[in-house]
Amino acid sequence: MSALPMNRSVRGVALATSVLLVLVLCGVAAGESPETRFFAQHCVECHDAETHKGGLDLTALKWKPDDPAVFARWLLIHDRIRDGEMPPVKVTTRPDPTAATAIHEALAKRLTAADLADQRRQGRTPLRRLNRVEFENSVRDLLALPTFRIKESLAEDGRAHGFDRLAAALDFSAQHLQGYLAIVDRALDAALCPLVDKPPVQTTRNTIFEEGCASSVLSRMEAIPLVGMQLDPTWTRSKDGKIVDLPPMANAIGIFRHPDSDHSYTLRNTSAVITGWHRFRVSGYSFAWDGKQVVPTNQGGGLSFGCGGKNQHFGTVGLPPNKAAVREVMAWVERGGGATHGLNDDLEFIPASCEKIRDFGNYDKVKGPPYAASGVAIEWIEMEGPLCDQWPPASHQALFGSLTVKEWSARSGVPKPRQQTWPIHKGWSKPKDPYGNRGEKRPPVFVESAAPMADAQSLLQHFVRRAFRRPVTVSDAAPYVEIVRQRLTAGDAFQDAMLEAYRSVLISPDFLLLREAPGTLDAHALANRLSYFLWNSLPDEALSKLADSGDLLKSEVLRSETERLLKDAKSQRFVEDFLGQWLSLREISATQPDRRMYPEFKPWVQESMLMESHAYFAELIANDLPVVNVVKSDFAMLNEPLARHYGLDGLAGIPGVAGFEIRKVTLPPGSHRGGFLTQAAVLKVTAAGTTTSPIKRGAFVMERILGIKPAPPPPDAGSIEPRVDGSTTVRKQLEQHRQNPSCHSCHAKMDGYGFALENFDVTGAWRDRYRAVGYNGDLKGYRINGNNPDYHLGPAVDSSGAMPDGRPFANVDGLRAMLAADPDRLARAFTGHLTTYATGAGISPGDRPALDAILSRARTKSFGVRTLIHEVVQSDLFRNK
Amino acid sequence: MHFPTLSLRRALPRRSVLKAAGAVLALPLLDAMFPTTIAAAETTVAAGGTPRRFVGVLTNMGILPEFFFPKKEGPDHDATPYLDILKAHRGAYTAFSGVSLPGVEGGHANERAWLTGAPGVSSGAFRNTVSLDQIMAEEIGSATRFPSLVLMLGHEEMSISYTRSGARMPPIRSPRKLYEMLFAEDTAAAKVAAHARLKQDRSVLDTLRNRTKTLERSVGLRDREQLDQYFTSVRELERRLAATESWVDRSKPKVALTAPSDGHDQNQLIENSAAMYAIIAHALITDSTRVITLCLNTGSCFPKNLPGVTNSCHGLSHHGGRPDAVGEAKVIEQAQFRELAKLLDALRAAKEGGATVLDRTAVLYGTNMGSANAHSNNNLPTLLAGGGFKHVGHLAFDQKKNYPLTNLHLSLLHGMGIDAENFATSTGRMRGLELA
Repeated sequence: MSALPMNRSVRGVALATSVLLVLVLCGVAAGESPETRFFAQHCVECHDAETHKGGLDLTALKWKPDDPAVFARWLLIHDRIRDGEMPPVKVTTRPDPTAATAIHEALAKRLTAADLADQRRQGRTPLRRLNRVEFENSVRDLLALPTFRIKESLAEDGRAHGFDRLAAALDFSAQHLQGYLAIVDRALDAALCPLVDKPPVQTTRNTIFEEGCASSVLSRMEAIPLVGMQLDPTWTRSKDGKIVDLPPMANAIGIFRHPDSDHSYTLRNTSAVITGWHRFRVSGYSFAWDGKQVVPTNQGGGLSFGCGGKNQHFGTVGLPPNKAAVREVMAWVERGGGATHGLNDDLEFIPASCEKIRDFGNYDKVKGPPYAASGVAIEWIEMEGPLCDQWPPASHQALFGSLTVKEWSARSGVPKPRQQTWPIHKGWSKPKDPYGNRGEKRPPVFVESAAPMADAQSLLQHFVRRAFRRPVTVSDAAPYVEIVRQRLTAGDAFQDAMLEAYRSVLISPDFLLLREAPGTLDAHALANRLSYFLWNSLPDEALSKLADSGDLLKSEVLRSETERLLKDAKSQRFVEDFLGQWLSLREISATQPDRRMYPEFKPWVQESMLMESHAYFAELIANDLPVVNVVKSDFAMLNEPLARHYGLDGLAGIPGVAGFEIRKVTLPPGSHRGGFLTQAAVLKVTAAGTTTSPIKRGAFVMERILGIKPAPPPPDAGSIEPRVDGSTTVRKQLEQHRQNPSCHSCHAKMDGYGFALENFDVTGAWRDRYRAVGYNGDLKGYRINGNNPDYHLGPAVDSSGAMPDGRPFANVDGLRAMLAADPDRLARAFTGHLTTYATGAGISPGDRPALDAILSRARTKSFGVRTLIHEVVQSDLFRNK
Repeated sequence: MHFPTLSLRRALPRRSVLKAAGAVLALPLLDAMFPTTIAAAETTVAAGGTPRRFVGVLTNMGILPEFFFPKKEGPDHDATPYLDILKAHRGAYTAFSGVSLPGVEGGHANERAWLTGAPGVSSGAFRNTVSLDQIMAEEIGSATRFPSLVLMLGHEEMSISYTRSGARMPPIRSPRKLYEMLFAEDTAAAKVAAHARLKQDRSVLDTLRNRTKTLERSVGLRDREQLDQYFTSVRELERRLAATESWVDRSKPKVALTAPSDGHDQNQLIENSAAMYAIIAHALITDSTRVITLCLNTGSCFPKNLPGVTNSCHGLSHHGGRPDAVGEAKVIEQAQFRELAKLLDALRAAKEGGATVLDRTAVLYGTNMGSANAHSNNNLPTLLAGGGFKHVGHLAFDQKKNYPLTNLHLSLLHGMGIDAENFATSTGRMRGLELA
C-alpha cells in the first residue's frame, strides 16, 4: 500500500547499473554500510537478476528518479519496507527494525527531493484534455444549451488515482476527435433558432380515456379503473377491446408495477413539437389494495417521467396517500427522436414507488391483482410547452449576438442556409403540430447580417475569448475569421460560414486542452482551475473579469470567488461529479438486487439514495461541518422512501417524514445511521448485486475514507463463490481463506471495516440475519404478491471486527466511533482526494509539506469541509501548475 | 507514450493493395449462399492474397461452465449441453479450458480487456491498450469499405474494441442502422453531401494541425507528449477521411436480406442476436469488412420471450447456486449458442475460391468470467471456430494454473497473416492449435 502515491504514469522499466551504485547515490559508502548489508541480506536473494521476484531486480535498478517508472519502482520499494511488508513474513531472519527505518527514511528524503525538483521543472499538473463531463458542461455553458446531452456520445474517460481528471488517463485519439466533431455538429445545430416567432405554448392532457394511453394499460388488465377511489364496477372491456363504462365514470387509473425490470407506461399520444422546456403535471394519489378493493394507506407514492429510448430521466414526483394532489416536473424535451438518439422516443412514466408485482394481466375476469399490493392512482397527466423565457433562444444569442432571425425566401438576397434538423413528429400525437410532421410547414429562416465580415470578426472574437478561457488577440481569432471569409467567398450563407468557424473553435486544442505554464498560475489559469473545480466548466463573465484585472490573484478575492462559485447552483455539478468518483456513486445502477430476494426494492428508493448523498455533501459544505461527518453524524438527509428503507419511520424521535423531498432529520440514538458509510448509495455501490462482500467494502473504506490504497490481490489469491442458500456466510468463507498467512496480512487490514458493514444488505437496509433463498415457513404470514416470500432468514449477521491494530469493535457503531476519533486521518485522506480532483494530479511525496499546511490551517475549524475546500484553493498545490 | 503491445517483425505493406491497384482487381469467388445477390455485388478482394476474417463475440455475463466444458480432451470429446448445439461443426471448432487472461482481474471490469489482454483492469491507474480487432483493422482494414465493425446489443452502451490509445470505440447498436450502412445505397445527393462534408472536415483539420504546431513550441517537455497525441490524432483522422472518401462513389453490395427492425427492445436478446448475426454473415460474405466485434452486454436484458425466464441475465448470473436460476440462465445461454450455430452454418454454406467463408473466418466466442456467480476471471469458457486452424475439439489446460488466452490472440493475428511477435501478455502462440 502506498500513502505516498506517485504522481506519474508508469512506463517501461529501464534496468541498469547495480544496487551498489544506488546506495552510493543515496549518500551511503559502498561496501560496508548497514544499508548495503540490509539490501544484501534481506532483499537481493529474491530480487536479483536470476530470480527477480515480482519483476524486481535490485542489482539492475538505476537511481533515475526522472524516469516516472523508475521513480514509481523506488516509491514502491520504500512503501513496502516502511509498512513492514518486505521482507515478507515468511522470511525467518527478520531485519533489525532500526535498519529498516533508516533505509526507508533515507529513501523518502531522496524521493521527496527528486519529486519537488521535478515539479519545479515541469509542474505537478501536466497538460491534459477536458474529460467528457467537463467538455459537456463547457459546451452547454458556451452555447446556452443547459441540458444538451454530450457525454454519452463520447468514449469513456480513463481514471488515475480514482479520478478522470488526470493527464495520465486522458489520452487522445482520432476516435476522440471524430467523436468531438460529430457531437459539436449536433450541438451547433441544436443552438440554432428554428423559427422567427416564439412558438405557441400548447398543453396536452391525458386522462384515463385517452386513446392509446392509459386505456391500453387498462385493457391489458394491468391496471384498474377507479371512481371515487374505489374500483369502478361498471367498467368493462369487450372481446374486441372496446371499453364501456356507465356513470359514474371512472376518473382515475390505479397502476401497480409490472414485473419487468424496465417496464414503463407510454404517454403514447404526447410528444414535443418544439425542443425546449416542458412542464409535466400529474394529478394523483397513492393507495393500497388488499386483493379485492382499495384500502387507505399511510404511505406516499411516486411517479417518474422520462424517455426510456433516450435513457432520459426527467424526474420523480411524490404523490400523497389517499387524496389526489397535483405535482409537476420541468424537463427539456426534444422534438421527435431528439438530437442524439434515433431509436424510440416515446415519453414514459412509471409508478416508481410500487414493488414489482407478478403479472395479473391473465386474470381475465379479475380486475386488479388477487393479492395485496401498493398502487398509484392517476387522474390525468399533462404536458405543457415549449416554455421559452426569451426568443430568439439564448443559444442563438450565444452564436449570433443581437443579429435577427428572419424568414428566408428567394427574394431575401442571400443563399438559403442549412436549417435546424427537425426529427419527424408523430402524426397521431398531440399537441397538433403547426409546422407539419416533417417540418414541411416550417418556413426557412436565416440570420441577417448587414456586414458579414465585420460581424464575423466581432462575434468570433467574443466567442473565442470565452471558449479559450483567456484574453485573445485579433490574431487568435484570425484563422476562424478566415474560415468565414473563405466560405462566404465560396457563396455560402453567413450562418453556415459562421457555424463552420464555431465548429473549428470547439475542437481546437485551445478549447479542448487545459494548458498551464510551469510555476505560479497566472490569473486566467487560476480562474480556469477554480471554475473547473467547482463548476466543472469554464469561467463565467464575472470570474473572467477578475482574471483580466489580475484581482483574482489576491487571496481575499480568490476566497470570495470560491464562495460565490460554491453558492451558485452550478456547484451541484461538483457535488455530483466528485461524489460520483470519490464514492463511486456513478455506479449506482451497476448491479441490481435480485428481485426475488429483495422484492421491496423500488426505483424511487435508488433515486432517493443518490439524492441523500448529494444533499448530505451539500449540507457539509454549506454549514462547514467537520470532516468526521464523513463517517459519523447526528443527522441525515432523508425523504419518505429512505426513512422507510432505513426503518426509521417508526422510531421515536423521528417526525413523520412524508413525501419525496429530502430534508434534514435529527437521528435518534441507536439508529446505526449517519455519515457516508451508512448511506444506502454507498452500501449499494459496494455490494455485488445479490451478495455483499466485506472485502470489497473493506477495501473501499481503506482507499476512499482512509486514503490507503490496498495492495492488489496476488494472482493466486483465489476467489470466494458467494452462496445464498444459507449454508454458510461470507464471513466463514473468508475465515478459511484467511488461515493462509500470506492472505491474512492483507485481509487483516481491510476485512474488519467490511465486517462492520455486514449489517447492511445490498440495498443498504439493515439486517440482523442474512436472507437465504427459498421459503421454509419461517416467514409464515408475510406475503409478497400473494405468495410466500422466495427467501427465508438465514444465519445471523456477525458484524464484529477489529481495526488493523487489533482494537476490537462490536458493530458499525463501534467502527464509526473509532474512525471518528481520528479526524486528522480522515481529513488527510479527504483532502488528498479533493486535491487530486481539484488539481488534476495525484498526491506525490513532494506534496506532503503543502498538504500538511492545508491541514494545519483547517485544524482550528475541526477540518470543516468548506474550510478544506477554501484551503485547497489557497494552497500552493492549487495555485501552481 | 505507451507500451508497445505489438511489435511487427517487418512492416507489412499497409494499404498497398488499394494504392497499387486503385481499382477492383478481382471479383470474389463467392458462390454458394446467395448466388444471385453475390453476382450483383461489387466487392473487392485483395489480389494475390486470400482474405482472412475475424469475428469476436463476447457475452459478458458468463457462460455456465458446467454446461460448456467437456471432460474428455481432443476431437472426440464428450457432448455437453452447449457444445452439442454446435455438433454439426465438430472438427471445425476448438473449445478451450484452463485458459484466462494473465493479470486481468476485477470481475465485470475485465470485460474491457477481453480483446486487449491489458492487465491491471481493476487498478485505479488502468489504461487499456489496443484490441485485437483494431490491430487487424489497421493491417488489413483498408481493403474493405469498413475497416472494422464494432457492434453491441444490450441496454447500456459498451464495446469490446479499443483504439491504440486505449479509448473505447463507439458501437453500432441498431441492426437496422447497421444494415443501412452496409447495404442501403446512398442517394446521389447524399454522396455529394458526403464529399462536401469530408472536404470541410479536412479543412478544419488543416487549421488544427497548424495551430498545434504553433502550440508545441510553447509548452514543456512532458506537456509536449500530450500535445503530440493530439497532433497524431489529427493526422490519423486525416488519413481516415481520405480512406472513407475513396468509397463514397462506389456502390454497396445488394443482398437478399430484408432490413431488420431497429432492435429497440433490448430484452429481445435472442431475436436481436439473430438479426446481428445475419448481417454479420452478409457483411463478411460480401467482403464489406473483414473484422467485426460484437459485445453482447446482456446484463440488464430480460429475455422474457424464452420459456421460464423470470429475471435479467445479470440477476441470473448471481445465481448463488439456486437450481431454478441456473436453469433459467441455461435456457438463455442455449438459445445464444443456437444463434451462434446459425452464424457458423451461414459462413460454412458460403463458398469462396474452393473454401468456405468459415474456413477463412476465425469466429471467437467467449466470456470474461469463468464463474459469473463468483466474478472469477479464470477458466474462461472460450470457443474458436473456423479461420483456417487445425481444430482439435477440446484443448485442455491446467484448471489451477491457467494458460494465457493472449496466446490465442497472438495465434489469431498470425492467422490473419499479421506477423506479430507478441500480443499483450502472450508468451507465444497457442500451444496445440496450428494453422492448417
